Amino acid sequence: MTMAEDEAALVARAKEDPEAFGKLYELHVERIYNYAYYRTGNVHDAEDLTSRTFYRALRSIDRYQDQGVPFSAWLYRIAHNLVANWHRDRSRRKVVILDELIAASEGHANPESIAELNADGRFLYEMIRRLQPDRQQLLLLKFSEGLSNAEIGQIMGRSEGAIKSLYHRTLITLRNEILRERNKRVTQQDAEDA
Amino acid sequence: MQGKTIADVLIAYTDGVAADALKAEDYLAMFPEHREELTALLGLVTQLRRVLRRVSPAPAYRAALHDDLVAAARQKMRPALTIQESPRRLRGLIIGAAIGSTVSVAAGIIATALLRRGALQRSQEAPSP
Repeated sequence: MTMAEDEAALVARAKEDPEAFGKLYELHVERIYNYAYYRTGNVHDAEDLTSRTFYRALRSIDRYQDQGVPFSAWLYRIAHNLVANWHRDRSRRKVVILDELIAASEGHANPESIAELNADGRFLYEMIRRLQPDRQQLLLLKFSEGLSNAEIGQIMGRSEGAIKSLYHRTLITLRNEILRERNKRVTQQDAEDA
Repeated sequence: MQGKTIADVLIAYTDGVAADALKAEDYLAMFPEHREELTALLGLVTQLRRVLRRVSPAPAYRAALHDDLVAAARQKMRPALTIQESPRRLRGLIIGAAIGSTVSVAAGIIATALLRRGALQRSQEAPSP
């Protein structure tokens, strides 16, 4: 039996067996949390969105149909929609600044948190967060999850070739944004010094 | 890697096929006209690898959510307490109820008619003043 068949069998059981649903949760909680953490920038909201993703999955698992893509693709889609709602609600309230997010993540035991990044790391993270959501998702799946283009394509509903060119474009956009922002900050600094 | 594009090189480098510096230099040599751009992009990949490290949820949170979800799943999957009637029995009940209603109405009409008839007879038999 392949891993995909194992997973398909586990998903089928999870529709009727609470313990099987618990196993599915254990298999996928890290990646969903990881995704929510980098998309929100703080532990509190990452935990909240991870919980909501799995509760929503539990509510809808009866209607889940195996279409040959990993179960994680379905979970990522739920998480992606919840994160999008989270950003929409937040943008209505106020503009989020990185320092605020970093402050929110402090005080939580998380050895690899954003708060521990150095200034260059924080700057790069800030630039990543300015990318379009699908490009952020691509970078997270590529670097945090270490997935191949084929796997990312299954999750994002695109071909392997499309992921390859999106990745190339994303890196170019990110590099250009970094250069633009650095120039902007240097100009501002010069104006303040003058 | 002949015939490969910059996009191929970036993917190969990111996926760890060309993680060491020597291989990176080989790739750079393949695109001398894009050397500057490729150097910047490979450097960016290295930075991204450092910044976007995998994070894990706190063990207490993870365990608590597991227990809550399993409890919620038990609640959801518990068979509902409903009385299942067979279609035949259900049809019998409906027909029985209909007959019962008809008999009640008919009995009411007959009783009213008999009462009226009795009242009429009594009024006819009564001596006139």
